[in-house]
Amino acid sequence: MTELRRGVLGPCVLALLAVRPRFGLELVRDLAAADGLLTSDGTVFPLLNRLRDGGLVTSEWRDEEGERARRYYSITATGRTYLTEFRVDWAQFAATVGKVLSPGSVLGGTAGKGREQ
Amino acid sequence: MSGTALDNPLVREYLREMETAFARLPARQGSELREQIIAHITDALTRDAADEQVTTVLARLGSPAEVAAEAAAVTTTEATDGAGPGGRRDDAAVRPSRRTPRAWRSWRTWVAAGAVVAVVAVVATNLIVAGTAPALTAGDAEAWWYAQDRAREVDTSADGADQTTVPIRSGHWQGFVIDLINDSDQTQTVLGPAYGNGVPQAFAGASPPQGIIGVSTPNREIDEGGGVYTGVKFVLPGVIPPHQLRAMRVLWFSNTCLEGKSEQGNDELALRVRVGWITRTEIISLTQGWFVEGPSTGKYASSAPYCQ
Repeated sequence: MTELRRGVLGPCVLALLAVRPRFGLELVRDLAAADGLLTSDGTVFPLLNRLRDGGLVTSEWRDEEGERARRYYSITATGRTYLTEFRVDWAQFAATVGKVLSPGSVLGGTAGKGREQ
Repeated sequence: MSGTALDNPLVREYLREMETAFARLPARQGSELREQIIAHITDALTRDAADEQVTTVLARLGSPAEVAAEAAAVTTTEATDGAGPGGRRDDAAVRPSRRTPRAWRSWRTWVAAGAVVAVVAVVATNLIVAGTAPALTAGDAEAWWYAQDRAREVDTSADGADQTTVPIRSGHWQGFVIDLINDSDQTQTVLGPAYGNGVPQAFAGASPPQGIIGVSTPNREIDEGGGVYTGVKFVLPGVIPPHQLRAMRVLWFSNTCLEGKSEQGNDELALRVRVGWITRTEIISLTQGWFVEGPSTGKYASSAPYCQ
């Protein structure tokens, strides 16, 4: 599950940033609100840096009235394209995995019978 | 001086561990992660947060070693084509091929051993030369960055120490520009501010606490009366060739809660600097102290909710 979680965390970050730009703590809290997605808050930052280095995310300092100056992260056009493609791939992938894992699936049923014989 | 969550002993210990853990990362990556983690802690904790809250936030953050390991994993991913965000490198793809014992007995072994010795010698020489290079120093030319501050600065001197002070402009950016001199025979590259235990916090309470630092490219002589910096960029990493100087700008957002005539500032800056193949922390003694003076106003007034 750790590897699976790691693999989907990037697209999840992009999905949140596609809604609106967020600063670090805000992003971490929104991710943490999705149970089981984030094992530790600090690991989000290396991921953010990689997304930025890959041109999927950009960041800028903002000083809003009454708030500390913060670095805000935004999704780029490339990031939106990647996210759109990932959503399609993920839907197909999740459906495929769901079929295989389903107790009544052909693959699952055959394997079960085989072990019993 | 107003305190921040960074002054909490538990946070200081965490930052100290972070310095050790991040030392293994590439300098730029480590510097950036430091800034992000510190911003996260500053945002997550109020300056008077209870130890239980601090412990919870730090536990959720994960150990510095864990964050560094994640960053290192991300770094290796970059070498793998087609890996998506968050993916990891397939170790099998980079596993060295097995060699037979006979191969190691061949003449190639001796060539390889010679090459290793040569590389070790070059590395050791570089490290020694870089490690003994004199640190960067501040020059005499200096000025407050913004015209509003230059117009209201008050210069004082006491016990041989000089200080320049301006009223804090709450909710605005303030800062200064100084000359930074590389008097060594090595190119020195400023990677960013240094954080951690024992490192002077330039403007604790402001954002970010060490200021946003940039080194000029190309170089531009500092005009103490203000001047125009058209065409000059202040960037990081900032490269300073041997025996040359560059202007360095330090800016911070003044959201500190200062009471009455209290002051905040520093006469030292801690920088992460790469010299040759090593990265080290250099403490730059400024030729004068740079201070902002209270009272803070508006939402940053000491009695305002933000400051409670």
